[in-house]
Amino acid sequence: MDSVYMVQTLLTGLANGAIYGLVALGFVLLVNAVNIINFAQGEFVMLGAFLAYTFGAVLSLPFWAAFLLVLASSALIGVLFERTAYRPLRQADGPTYLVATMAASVAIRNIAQNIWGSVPFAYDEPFGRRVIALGSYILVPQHLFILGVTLVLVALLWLFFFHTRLGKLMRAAAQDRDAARLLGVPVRRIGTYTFMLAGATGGMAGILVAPVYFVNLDMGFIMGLKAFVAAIIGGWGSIPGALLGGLLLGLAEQMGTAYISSAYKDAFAFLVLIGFLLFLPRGLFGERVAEKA
Amino acid sequence: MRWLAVERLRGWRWALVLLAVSAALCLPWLAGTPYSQGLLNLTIINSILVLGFYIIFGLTGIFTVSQVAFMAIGAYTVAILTADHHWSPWLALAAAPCTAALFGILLGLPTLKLKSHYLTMATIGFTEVVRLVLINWEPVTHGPSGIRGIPTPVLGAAPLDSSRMLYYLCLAVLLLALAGVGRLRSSRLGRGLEAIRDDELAADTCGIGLMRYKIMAFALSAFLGGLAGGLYAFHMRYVAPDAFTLEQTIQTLAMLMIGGRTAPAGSVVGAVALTYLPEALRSFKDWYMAIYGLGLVAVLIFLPDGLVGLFRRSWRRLMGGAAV
Repeated sequence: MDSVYMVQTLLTGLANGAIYGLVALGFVLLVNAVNIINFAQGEFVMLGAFLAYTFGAVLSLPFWAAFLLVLASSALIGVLFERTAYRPLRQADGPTYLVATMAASVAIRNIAQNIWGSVPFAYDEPFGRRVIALGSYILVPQHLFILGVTLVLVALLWLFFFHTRLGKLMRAAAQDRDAARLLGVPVRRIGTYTFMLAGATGGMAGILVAPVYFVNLDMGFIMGLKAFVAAIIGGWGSIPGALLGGLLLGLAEQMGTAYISSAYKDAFAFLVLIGFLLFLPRGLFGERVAEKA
Repeated sequence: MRWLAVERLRGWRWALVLLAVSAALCLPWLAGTPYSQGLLNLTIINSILVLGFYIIFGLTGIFTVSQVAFMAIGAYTVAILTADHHWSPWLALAAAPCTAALFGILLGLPTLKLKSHYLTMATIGFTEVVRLVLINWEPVTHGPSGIRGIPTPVLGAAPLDSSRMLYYLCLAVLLLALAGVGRLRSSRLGRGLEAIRDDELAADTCGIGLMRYKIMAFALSAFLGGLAGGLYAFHMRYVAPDAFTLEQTIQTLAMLMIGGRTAPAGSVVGAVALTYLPEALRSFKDWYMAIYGLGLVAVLIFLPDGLVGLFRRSWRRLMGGAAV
């Protein structure tokens, strides 16, 4: 195990971690704005990737056009999701949401399978198959792009939630729905905006990760799970925590794969999760709002 | 007969239960083909599986996603013990739920303090790890190709090898399990679990030992899951990791929610409905999971108590609000 191998492993781990962080931002967004967990967030990513393929490769639109179209249609999907799986259930208890979003995610996956089939597609815009060689290390530009976008998104979300009126209203609604409504916060409309944002964030993650993996039906589920783990590691609801948790998870997973066992790659994420839940359940950045009794 | 929880079964309820049991006893004579007999067996096995899920989710209010993992553990326990180690099938069938319950406790212990989504996530992780171990631990689990040649239990001189005999074994297990769960609901433990579901803090304040009660819920739920798995192994005579997928998990969840999570009967109703639904929807095969998923969302919106709740409400209306 030479040091070149080790550094390359670290780089790959960080690259994967940025992806988890990006997807985790979708979870964090919903937690901050409506305080629910959306098991279908990963499916938004999958849909985003397939839409990117459709717009970019099938209709051969330029990358920027495909990007904007994916954002718009993902936002629409988010609203559709809100109308079917969230709004009618507003009065229900916590587990019901979990079940509903899980059920919706299965339905989304099946619908996608019927539209696009189960054969994976390749989509490698905007960088093609180019790589950057730095001495003996290899960097993939797409990974740097993802990391950059995730960083920008972290900053934007943070500004949005803490320094804009709408963001503050969203946080208020998430903390106590009824009290917020009594104070005149348009809780319903905010729910719609939130899911638009969550859909768009998921779709953007989809178009960005499409070149990294093959575009396939299972990418959403597994990425959703890892991102969820990343969000917990980072501290539930924390915006920078999502990115940091993602990076940490990516590193742990890649190191485990390289030095322990590659067959159990997906198990490392959950071992890390269980470790965190046992010893640091608040994650790296802690939960700002205490669990309501 | 106290253990049968007779006090809960008065008047028409007894008639209903007797009717259902005798119908279940006669059903195999209506099943003309081995295929339809197989479906019957699967229905009963699914009922036991979902009943286990009812204990943890319906009764205790803990949303786990690991019921199918316990089923897998039970099925593999039977497969490994009988096919590879030549144990008696009966012993293996007894070992299956115990192994699963042990894993249930192992999963419950570290995750007990977790709330809502954290716990759900941890159980997803557990399920995923179980699946990976089944695929990768080749010397014991035979990897992705699974284990073949599972023998069938022999009762006295008569081998239970016909599908019909296995049906009666499964039915007997299901009835015992239903009676047990019925008994559980009126016991101190069961009421404690319901109290935890309704308000954990209040239950804790009333002196219900959360730790002990939740561990029991985990163990019992896993026990039934393992039992269903063991019977499943005898039914299929072959186990492989791909039988225990996310789809199966969602199906178990859908069965409980559609049948109704407020009563054990809901598990059976849901299992019957959703084992036969794919048969009715055969021409929409490609859309199964979409129908499942959206149907489940619809049930959550319009029938939060499931079919059993619907039945209960219409019965009440029929009887003019009396007699229940």
